[in-house]
Amino acid sequence: MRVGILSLQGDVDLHEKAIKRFHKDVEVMRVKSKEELEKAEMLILPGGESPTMSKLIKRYELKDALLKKIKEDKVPTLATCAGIVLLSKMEEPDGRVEPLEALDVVIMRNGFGRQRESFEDKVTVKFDDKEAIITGVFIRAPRIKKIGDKARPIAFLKDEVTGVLEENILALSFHPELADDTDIIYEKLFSMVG
Amino acid sequence: MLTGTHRVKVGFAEMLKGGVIMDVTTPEQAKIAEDAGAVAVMALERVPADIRKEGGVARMADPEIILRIMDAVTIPVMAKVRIGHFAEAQTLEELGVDFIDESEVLTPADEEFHINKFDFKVPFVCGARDLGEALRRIGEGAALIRTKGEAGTGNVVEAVRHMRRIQSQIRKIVMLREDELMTEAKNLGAPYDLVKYVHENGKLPVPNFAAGGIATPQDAALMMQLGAESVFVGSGIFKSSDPDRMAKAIVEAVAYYDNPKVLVRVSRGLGEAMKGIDVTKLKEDELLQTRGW
Repeated sequence: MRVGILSLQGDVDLHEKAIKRFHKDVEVMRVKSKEELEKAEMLILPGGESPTMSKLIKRYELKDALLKKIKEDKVPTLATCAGIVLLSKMEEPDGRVEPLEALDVVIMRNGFGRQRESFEDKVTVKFDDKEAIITGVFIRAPRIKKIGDKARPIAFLKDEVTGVLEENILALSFHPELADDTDIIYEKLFSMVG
Repeated sequence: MLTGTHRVKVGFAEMLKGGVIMDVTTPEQAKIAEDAGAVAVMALERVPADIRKEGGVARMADPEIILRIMDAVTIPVMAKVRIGHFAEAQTLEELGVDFIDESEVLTPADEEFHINKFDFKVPFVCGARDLGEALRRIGEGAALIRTKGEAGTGNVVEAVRHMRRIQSQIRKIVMLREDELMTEAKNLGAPYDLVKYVHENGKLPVPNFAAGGIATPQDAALMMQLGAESVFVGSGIFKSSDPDRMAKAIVEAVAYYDNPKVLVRVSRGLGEAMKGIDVTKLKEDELLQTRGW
Protein backbone atom coordinates (compact mmCIF):
# COMPACT_ATOMS: atom_id res chain seq x y z
CA MET A 1 0.00 0.00 0.00
CA ARG A 2 1.51 3.30 -1.13
CA VAL A 3 0.21 6.32 0.75
CA GLY A 4 0.91 9.61 -1.01
CA ILE A 5 1.06 12.72 1.16
CA LEU A 6 0.76 15.94 -0.81
CA SER A 7 4.02 17.57 0.27
CA LEU A 8 4.01 21.03 -1.28
CA GLN A 9 3.91 22.49 2.23
CA GLY A 10 2.52 21.69 5.68
CA ASP A 11 2.56 19.12 8.47
CA VAL A 12 3.63 16.20 6.30
CA ASP A 13 5.90 14.74 9.01
CA LEU A 14 3.10 14.28 11.52
CA HIS A 15 0.84 12.66 8.95
CA GLU A 16 3.60 10.23 8.05
CA LYS A 17 4.14 9.42 11.72
CA ALA A 18 0.40 8.97 12.37
CA ILE A 19 -0.10 6.70 9.35
CA LYS A 20 2.89 4.56 10.27
CA ARG A 21 1.76 4.36 13.88
CA PHE A 22 -1.59 2.99 12.74
CA HIS A 23 -0.31 0.74 9.97
CA LYS A 24 3.32 -0.37 10.05
CA ASP A 25 3.43 -1.85 6.57
CA VAL A 26 2.52 1.14 4.46
CA GLU A 27 4.95 2.86 2.15
CA VAL A 28 4.73 6.62 2.52
CA MET A 29 5.50 8.75 -0.52
CA ARG A 30 5.95 12.50 -0.44
CA VAL A 31 4.05 13.72 -3.47
CA LYS A 32 5.08 16.91 -5.29
CA SER A 33 4.61 16.03 -8.96
CA LYS A 34 2.07 14.45 -11.33
CA GLU A 35 4.29 11.39 -11.73
CA GLU A 36 4.48 10.80 -7.99
CA LEU A 37 0.77 11.43 -7.60
CA GLU A 38 -0.02 8.78 -10.19
CA LYS A 39 1.58 6.07 -8.02
CA ALA A 40 -0.42 6.78 -4.87
CA GLU A 41 -3.01 4.23 -3.73
CA MET A 42 -4.19 6.43 -0.87
CA LEU A 43 -3.94 10.20 -0.61
CA ILE A 44 -3.47 12.59 2.29
CA LEU A 45 -3.93 16.35 1.95
CA PRO A 46 -2.24 17.72 5.07
CA GLY A 47 -2.69 20.86 7.14
CA GLY A 48 -0.70 23.97 6.38
CA GLU A 49 -1.41 27.18 4.52
CA SER A 50 -4.01 26.59 1.80
CA PRO A 51 -3.04 29.71 -0.23
CA THR A 52 0.55 28.44 -0.46
CA MET A 53 -0.56 24.94 -1.50
CA SER A 54 -3.13 26.30 -3.94
CA LYS A 55 -0.54 28.48 -5.69
CA LEU A 56 1.90 25.59 -6.02
CA ILE A 57 -0.87 23.29 -7.32
CA LYS A 58 -1.52 25.90 -10.00
CA ARG A 59 2.13 26.61 -10.88
CA TYR A 60 2.98 22.91 -11.08
CA GLU A 61 -0.28 21.99 -12.86
CA LEU A 62 -1.36 19.38 -10.35
CA LYS A 63 -5.08 20.23 -10.32
CA ASP A 64 -6.25 17.78 -12.98
CA ALA A 65 -4.06 14.98 -11.65
CA LEU A 66 -5.41 15.49 -8.13
CA LEU A 67 -9.01 15.52 -9.38
CA LYS A 68 -8.44 12.37 -11.43
CA LYS A 69 -6.91 10.56 -8.46
CA ILE A 70 -9.69 11.61 -6.10
CA LYS A 71 -12.81 11.68 -8.30
CA GLU A 72 -12.06 9.09 -11.01
CA ASP A 73 -9.66 6.59 -9.45
CA LYS A 74 -11.45 7.23 -6.15
CA VAL A 75 -8.48 6.43 -3.94
CA PRO A 76 -9.24 6.72 -0.21
CA THR A 77 -8.44 10.34 0.66
CA LEU A 78 -7.93 12.03 4.00
CA ALA A 79 -8.05 15.83 3.97
CA THR A 80 -7.34 17.82 7.12
CA CYS A 81 -7.58 21.56 7.77
CA ALA A 82 -5.95 23.18 4.70
CA GLY A 83 -6.78 19.91 2.93
CA ILE A 84 -10.53 20.35 3.37
CA VAL A 85 -10.17 23.99 2.22
CA LEU A 86 -8.53 22.82 -1.01
CA LEU A 87 -11.34 20.35 -1.71
CA SER A 88 -14.40 22.45 -0.78
CA LYS A 89 -16.10 25.50 -2.20
CA MET A 90 -15.22 28.82 -0.59
CA GLU A 91 -17.93 30.77 1.23
CA GLU A 92 -16.24 34.02 0.20
CA PRO A 93 -14.03 33.32 -2.82
CA ASP A 94 -11.23 35.88 -2.88
CA GLY A 95 -8.76 34.33 -5.32
CA ARG A 96 -6.27 33.45 -2.59
CA VAL A 97 -7.25 29.82 -2.85
CA GLU A 98 -8.54 28.18 -6.02
CA PRO A 99 -10.28 25.14 -4.57
CA LEU A 100 -10.70 21.87 -6.46
CA GLU A 101 -14.39 21.75 -5.50
CA ALA A 102 -14.26 18.00 -5.19
CA LEU A 103 -16.37 18.03 -2.05
CA ASP A 104 -20.01 19.06 -1.59
CA VAL A 105 -19.14 21.44 1.24
CA VAL A 106 -18.87 25.22 1.61
CA ILE A 107 -16.04 26.35 3.82
CA MET A 108 -14.80 29.50 5.51
CA ARG A 109 -11.05 29.76 6.03
CA ASN A 110 -9.88 30.59 9.57
CA GLY A 111 -13.54 30.40 10.62
CA PHE A 112 -12.71 29.92 14.30
CA GLY A 113 -10.33 32.90 14.44
CA ARG A 114 -6.61 33.51 14.60
CA GLN A 115 -3.95 31.43 16.38
CA ARG A 116 -4.87 32.96 19.75
CA GLU A 117 -8.30 31.30 19.36
CA SER A 118 -6.87 27.93 18.23
CA PHE A 119 -7.98 25.17 20.59
CA GLU A 120 -8.36 21.50 21.40
CA ASP A 121 -11.64 19.95 22.49
CA LYS A 122 -13.52 16.66 22.42
CA VAL A 123 -15.00 15.74 19.05
CA THR A 124 -17.54 12.97 18.51
CA VAL A 125 -16.94 10.87 15.42
CA LYS A 126 -19.86 8.77 14.11
CA PHE A 127 -19.75 6.19 11.35
CA ASP A 128 -22.49 3.63 10.60
CA ASP A 129 -20.84 0.89 12.57
CA LYS A 130 -18.75 2.78 15.05
CA GLU A 131 -18.61 5.84 17.27
CA ALA A 132 -15.83 7.42 19.36
CA ILE A 133 -14.94 10.58 21.23
CA ILE A 134 -11.54 11.84 20.16
CA THR A 135 -9.34 14.91 20.66
CA GLY A 136 -9.91 17.52 17.98
CA VAL A 137 -7.04 19.97 17.55
CA PHE A 138 -8.23 23.06 15.68
CA ILE A 139 -5.46 25.38 14.45
CA ARG A 140 -6.65 28.55 12.69
CA ALA A 141 -9.15 26.00 11.49
CA PRO A 142 -11.65 26.34 8.65
CA ARG A 143 -15.34 26.26 9.48
CA ILE A 144 -17.82 24.13 7.57
CA LYS A 145 -20.65 26.50 6.61
CA LYS A 146 -22.83 24.34 4.34
CA ILE A 147 -23.05 20.65 3.60
CA GLY A 148 -24.59 19.45 0.36
CA ASP A 149 -26.53 16.22 -0.23
CA LYS A 150 -23.51 14.19 -1.26
CA ALA A 151 -21.51 14.78 1.91
CA ARG A 152 -22.43 13.10 5.18
CA PRO A 153 -21.55 14.73 8.54
CA ILE A 154 -19.35 12.40 10.63
CA ALA A 155 -17.54 14.59 13.18
CA PHE A 156 -19.16 16.92 15.69
CA LEU A 157 -17.89 19.61 18.05
CA LYS A 158 -20.97 19.78 20.27
CA ASP A 159 -23.59 20.34 17.53
CA GLU A 160 -21.29 21.79 14.92
CA VAL A 161 -20.15 19.61 12.03
CA THR A 162 -16.34 19.47 11.81
CA GLY A 163 -15.92 16.54 9.46
CA VAL A 164 -17.66 14.87 6.51
CA LEU A 165 -17.50 11.69 4.48
CA GLU A 166 -18.26 11.85 0.76
CA GLU A 167 -17.67 8.60 -1.10
CA ASN A 168 -13.89 8.02 -0.82
CA ILE A 169 -13.11 11.39 0.82
CA LEU A 170 -12.80 11.79 4.58
CA ALA A 171 -12.44 15.52 5.24
CA LEU A 172 -11.90 17.15 8.63
CA SER A 173 -11.44 20.74 9.75
CA PHE A 174 -9.17 19.55 12.61
CA HIS A 175 -5.96 17.54 12.90
CA PRO A 176 -6.24 13.81 13.76
CA GLU A 177 -2.46 13.57 13.19
CA LEU A 178 -1.86 15.83 16.21
CA ALA A 179 -3.59 13.51 18.70
CA ASP A 180 -3.02 9.86 19.54
CA ASP A 181 -6.63 8.84 20.25
CA THR A 182 -7.82 9.19 16.66
CA ASP A 183 -7.58 5.58 15.43
CA ILE A 184 -11.24 5.59 14.36
CA ILE A 185 -10.31 8.02 11.55
CA TYR A 186 -7.51 5.81 10.25
CA GLU A 187 -9.61 2.63 10.61
CA LYS A 188 -12.23 4.23 8.38
CA LEU A 189 -9.61 5.40 5.89
CA PHE A 190 -8.06 1.95 5.53
CA SER A 191 -11.49 0.28 5.41
CA MET A 192 -12.10 2.17 2.16
CA VAL A 193 -9.21 0.46 0.40
CA GLY A 194 -10.79 -1.52 -2.43
CA MET B 1 -12.17 23.89 25.24
CA LEU B 2 -8.45 24.50 25.80
CA THR B 3 -6.53 27.30 24.08
CA GLY B 4 -2.81 28.03 24.12
CA THR B 5 -1.80 24.45 24.94
CA HIS B 6 1.62 23.11 24.06
CA ARG B 7 -0.01 20.93 21.39
CA VAL B 8 -1.86 23.88 19.83
CA LYS B 9 1.33 25.99 19.81
CA VAL B 10 3.77 23.40 18.47
CA GLY B 11 1.06 22.05 16.15
CA PHE B 12 0.83 25.47 14.55
CA ALA B 13 4.62 25.53 14.06
CA GLU B 14 4.28 22.13 12.33
CA MET B 15 1.76 23.66 9.89
CA LEU B 16 4.37 26.20 8.78
CA LYS B 17 6.85 23.54 7.68
CA GLY B 18 8.09 23.53 4.10
CA GLY B 19 7.30 27.20 3.76
CA VAL B 20 8.75 30.69 3.65
CA ILE B 21 8.11 33.40 6.24
CA MET B 22 8.82 36.83 4.79
CA ASP B 23 9.67 40.13 6.49
CA VAL B 24 7.32 42.92 5.40
CA THR B 25 6.99 46.55 6.43
CA THR B 26 3.78 47.60 4.62
CA PRO B 27 0.39 46.06 3.71
CA GLU B 28 1.45 46.22 0.05
CA GLN B 29 4.55 44.14 0.74
CA ALA B 30 2.43 41.72 2.78
CA LYS B 31 0.14 41.24 -0.23
CA ILE B 32 3.13 40.56 -2.49
CA ALA B 33 4.35 37.96 0.02
CA GLU B 34 0.92 36.30 0.25
CA ASP B 35 0.48 36.27 -3.53
CA ALA B 36 3.90 34.71 -3.91
CA GLY B 37 2.91 31.86 -1.59
CA ALA B 38 4.49 32.81 1.75
CA VAL B 39 3.15 30.73 4.69
CA ALA B 40 3.35 33.77 6.97
CA VAL B 41 4.66 37.31 7.12
CA MET B 42 6.75 39.01 9.80
CA ALA B 43 5.41 42.52 10.34
CA LEU B 44 8.20 45.04 10.97
CA GLU B 45 8.88 48.77 10.85
CA ARG B 46 12.28 48.22 9.27
CA VAL B 47 13.87 45.13 7.76
CA PRO B 48 17.08 43.98 9.49
CA ALA B 49 19.33 45.50 6.80
CA ASP B 50 17.86 48.94 7.55
CA ILE B 51 17.99 48.39 11.32
CA ARG B 52 21.67 47.65 10.84
CA LYS B 53 22.23 50.73 8.70
CA GLU B 54 20.25 53.22 10.74
CA GLY B 55 21.30 52.13 14.24
CA GLY B 56 19.54 53.42 17.38
CA VAL B 57 17.30 51.30 19.61
CA ALA B 58 15.24 48.82 17.58
CA ARG B 59 11.88 48.11 19.22
CA MET B 60 8.58 46.32 18.61
CA ALA B 61 6.78 47.75 15.56
CA ASP B 62 3.97 50.30 15.90
CA PRO B 63 0.69 48.37 16.49
CA GLU B 64 -0.89 50.44 13.70
CA ILE B 65 1.52 48.97 11.14
CA ILE B 66 0.96 45.46 12.45
CA LEU B 67 -2.85 45.82 12.39
CA ARG B 68 -2.81 47.14 8.83
CA ILE B 69 -0.74 44.17 7.76
CA MET B 70 -3.08 41.79 9.61
CA ASP B 71 -6.00 43.34 7.70
CA ALA B 72 -4.25 43.00 4.35
CA VAL B 73 -3.59 39.25 4.39
CA THR B 74 -5.25 36.00 5.49
CA ILE B 75 -2.02 34.09 6.16
CA PRO B 76 -0.54 34.18 9.70
CA VAL B 77 1.15 37.37 10.85
CA MET B 78 4.17 37.29 13.14
CA ALA B 79 5.90 40.20 14.85
CA LYS B 80 9.09 40.72 16.84
CA VAL B 81 9.69 41.75 20.43
CA ARG B 82 12.96 42.58 22.16
CA ILE B 83 14.61 39.80 24.13
CA GLY B 84 13.13 39.80 27.66
CA HIS B 85 10.50 42.47 26.87
CA PHE B 86 7.35 40.71 28.04
CA ALA B 87 5.28 43.92 27.98
CA GLU B 88 5.90 44.19 24.22
CA ALA B 89 4.83 40.53 23.99
CA GLN B 90 1.65 41.22 25.98
CA THR B 91 0.89 44.02 23.52
CA LEU B 92 1.34 41.73 20.51
CA GLU B 93 -0.78 38.99 22.08
CA GLU B 94 -3.57 41.50 22.71
CA LEU B 95 -3.31 42.63 19.07
CA GLY B 96 -3.93 39.04 17.97
CA VAL B 97 -0.57 38.44 16.30
CA ASP B 98 -0.27 34.73 15.44
CA PHE B 99 3.37 34.14 16.41
CA ILE B 100 5.83 36.24 18.45
CA ASP B 101 9.53 36.29 17.57
CA GLU B 102 11.65 37.09 20.64
CA SER B 103 14.39 38.38 18.45
CA GLU B 104 18.05 39.33 18.64
CA VAL B 105 17.42 41.60 15.63
CA LEU B 106 15.84 44.13 18.02
CA THR B 107 17.83 45.74 20.84
CA PRO B 108 17.64 43.46 23.90
CA ALA B 109 15.56 44.74 26.83
CA ASP B 110 17.13 42.30 29.27
CA GLU B 111 20.72 41.08 29.16
CA GLU B 112 20.16 38.21 31.56
CA PHE B 113 16.68 36.76 31.16
CA HIS B 114 14.38 35.82 28.30
CA ILE B 115 10.57 35.94 28.38
CA ASN B 116 8.74 33.13 30.18
CA LYS B 117 6.88 32.03 27.09
CA PHE B 118 4.59 29.66 29.01
CA ASP B 119 2.76 32.78 30.26
CA PHE B 120 1.33 33.35 26.78
CA LYS B 121 -1.35 31.69 24.65
CA VAL B 122 0.37 32.87 21.49
CA PRO B 123 3.37 30.72 20.46
CA PHE B 124 6.93 32.06 20.37
CA VAL B 125 9.84 31.50 18.02
CA CYS B 126 13.40 32.15 19.24
CA GLY B 127 16.80 32.18 17.60
CA ALA B 128 19.65 29.82 18.47
CA ARG B 129 23.28 29.39 17.46
CA ASP B 130 23.75 26.00 19.08
CA LEU B 131 21.81 23.16 20.67
CA GLY B 132 22.19 24.42 24.24
CA GLU B 133 20.67 27.76 23.32
CA ALA B 134 17.85 26.05 21.37
CA LEU B 135 16.98 23.79 24.32
CA ARG B 136 17.11 26.68 26.82
CA ARG B 137 14.59 28.58 24.70
CA ILE B 138 12.37 25.49 24.41
CA GLY B 139 12.72 25.08 28.18
CA GLU B 140 11.27 28.60 28.50
CA GLY B 141 8.33 27.64 26.28
CA ALA B 142 9.38 28.42 22.70
CA ALA B 143 7.25 26.46 20.18
CA LEU B 144 9.66 26.95 17.29
CA ILE B 145 13.41 27.45 16.91
CA ARG B 146 15.23 29.18 14.08
CA THR B 147 18.92 29.58 13.49
CA LYS B 148 20.06 33.12 14.17
CA GLY B 149 22.46 33.42 11.27
CA GLU B 150 23.50 37.04 10.93
CA ALA B 151 20.38 39.03 10.06
CA GLY B 152 20.46 41.88 7.56
CA THR B 153 23.69 40.78 5.88
CA GLY B 154 22.34 38.79 2.91
CA ASN B 155 25.16 36.39 3.75
CA VAL B 156 24.12 32.83 4.52
CA VAL B 157 27.41 31.75 6.10
CA GLU B 158 26.32 32.18 9.72
CA ALA B 159 22.98 30.42 9.21
CA VAL B 160 24.91 27.51 7.70
CA ARG B 161 27.30 27.48 10.64
CA HIS B 162 24.47 27.47 13.18
CA MET B 163 22.39 24.82 11.39
CA ARG B 164 25.37 22.50 10.94
CA ARG B 165 26.36 22.98 14.56
CA ILE B 166 22.88 22.18 15.89
CA GLN B 167 22.50 19.12 13.62
CA SER B 168 25.92 17.79 14.56
CA GLN B 169 25.27 18.31 18.28
CA ILE B 170 21.98 16.40 17.88
CA ARG B 171 23.81 13.51 16.19
CA LYS B 172 26.35 13.44 19.00
CA ILE B 173 23.66 13.24 21.70
CA VAL B 174 21.95 10.38 19.90
CA MET B 175 25.25 8.45 20.08
CA LEU B 176 25.87 9.02 23.79
CA ARG B 177 25.20 6.41 26.47
CA GLU B 178 22.28 7.28 28.72
CA ASP B 179 24.60 7.71 31.72
CA GLU B 180 26.47 10.43 29.83
CA LEU B 181 23.41 12.63 29.24
CA MET B 182 23.47 14.56 32.53
CA THR B 183 27.03 15.77 32.01
CA GLU B 184 26.16 16.65 28.42
CA ALA B 185 23.18 18.64 29.70
CA LYS B 186 25.52 20.45 32.13
CA ASN B 187 28.03 21.20 29.37
CA LEU B 188 25.34 22.47 26.98
CA GLY B 189 23.60 24.47 29.68
CA ALA B 190 20.38 22.74 28.64
CA PRO B 191 17.52 21.15 30.62
CA TYR B 192 18.21 17.43 31.20
CA ASP B 193 14.76 16.21 30.12
CA LEU B 194 15.10 17.97 26.78
CA VAL B 195 18.58 16.52 26.23
CA LYS B 196 17.02 13.13 26.93
CA TYR B 197 14.27 13.86 24.39
CA VAL B 198 16.90 14.63 21.75
CA HIS B 199 18.78 11.44 22.65
CA GLU B 200 15.64 9.35 22.18
CA ASN B 201 14.17 11.10 19.14
CA GLY B 202 17.17 12.42 17.21
CA LYS B 203 15.51 15.82 16.75
CA LEU B 204 14.43 18.91 18.64
CA PRO B 205 11.05 18.65 20.38
CA VAL B 206 9.81 21.55 18.21
CA PRO B 207 10.35 22.39 14.52
CA ASN B 208 13.67 23.93 13.52
CA PHE B 209 13.70 26.62 10.82
CA ALA B 210 16.52 28.66 9.28
CA ALA B 211 16.96 32.43 9.37
CA GLY B 212 19.59 35.12 9.11
CA GLY B 213 21.18 35.97 5.77
CA ILE B 214 19.10 33.94 3.30
CA ALA B 215 19.01 35.97 0.07
CA THR B 216 18.59 33.62 -2.92
CA PRO B 217 16.56 30.52 -3.87
CA GLN B 218 19.80 28.53 -3.60
CA ASP B 219 20.42 29.83 -0.06
CA ALA B 220 16.95 28.60 0.87
CA ALA B 221 17.46 25.19 -0.77
CA LEU B 222 20.85 24.86 0.94
CA MET B 223 19.33 25.46 4.37
CA MET B 224 16.51 22.97 3.68
CA GLN B 225 19.04 20.32 2.67
CA LEU B 226 21.05 21.01 5.82
CA GLY B 227 17.99 20.14 7.89
CA ALA B 228 15.94 23.33 8.15
CA GLU B 229 12.21 22.64 8.02
CA SER B 230 11.28 26.11 6.65
CA VAL B 231 13.04 29.40 6.09
CA PHE B 232 12.63 32.97 7.25
CA VAL B 233 13.69 35.53 4.66
CA GLY B 234 14.25 38.96 6.12
CA SER B 235 15.80 41.65 3.98
CA GLY B 236 16.43 39.22 1.11
CA ILE B 237 13.13 39.79 -0.69
CA PHE B 238 12.36 43.48 -0.51
CA LYS B 239 16.04 44.48 -0.86
CA SER B 240 16.32 42.53 -4.13
CA SER B 241 15.77 44.13 -7.55
CA ASP B 242 12.50 42.26 -8.24
CA PRO B 243 10.81 41.38 -4.91
CA ASP B 244 7.74 39.77 -6.49
CA ARG B 245 9.80 37.31 -8.53
CA MET B 246 12.33 36.73 -5.75
CA ALA B 247 9.49 35.89 -3.33
CA LYS B 248 7.94 33.38 -5.74
CA ALA B 249 11.34 31.89 -6.57
CA ILE B 250 12.21 31.29 -2.92
CA VAL B 251 8.77 29.74 -2.22
CA GLU B 252 9.33 27.24 -5.05
CA ALA B 253 12.94 26.64 -4.03
CA VAL B 254 11.79 25.64 -0.54
CA ALA B 255 8.97 23.38 -1.76
CA TYR B 256 11.27 21.70 -4.31
CA TYR B 257 14.56 22.15 -2.43
CA ASP B 258 15.89 18.80 -3.61
CA ASN B 259 15.10 19.41 -7.29
CA PRO B 260 17.89 21.34 -9.13
CA LYS B 261 15.69 21.65 -12.24
CA VAL B 262 13.34 23.87 -10.26
CA LEU B 263 16.28 25.85 -8.89
CA VAL B 264 17.48 26.55 -12.43
CA ARG B 265 14.06 27.54 -13.68
CA VAL B 266 13.24 29.95 -10.82
CA SER B 267 16.69 31.61 -10.92
CA ARG B 268 16.95 32.40 -14.62
CA GLY B 269 16.88 36.16 -15.13
CA LEU B 270 15.86 36.67 -11.52
CA GLY B 271 17.71 39.98 -11.22
CA GLU B 272 19.95 41.06 -8.40
CA ALA B 273 19.78 39.67 -4.91
CA MET B 274 20.37 42.09 -2.05
CA LYS B 275 23.91 43.41 -2.01
CA GLY B 276 25.02 41.85 1.24
CA ILE B 277 27.84 42.26 3.72
CA ASP B 278 30.98 40.25 4.43
CA VAL B 279 30.31 39.07 7.99
CA THR B 280 34.04 38.93 8.82
CA LYS B 281 34.20 42.71 8.24
CA LEU B 282 31.64 43.33 11.00
CA LYS B 283 32.98 44.38 14.39
CA GLU B 284 32.10 42.26 17.41
CA ASP B 285 29.59 44.85 18.65
CA GLU B 286 27.89 44.94 15.24
CA LEU B 287 26.94 41.27 15.41
CA LEU B 288 23.30 40.54 16.26
CA GLN B 289 23.76 36.81 16.81
CA THR B 290 25.62 37.24 20.11
CA ARG B 291 22.47 38.67 21.70
CA GLY B 292 20.65 36.01 23.74
CA TRP B 293 21.72 34.09 26.83
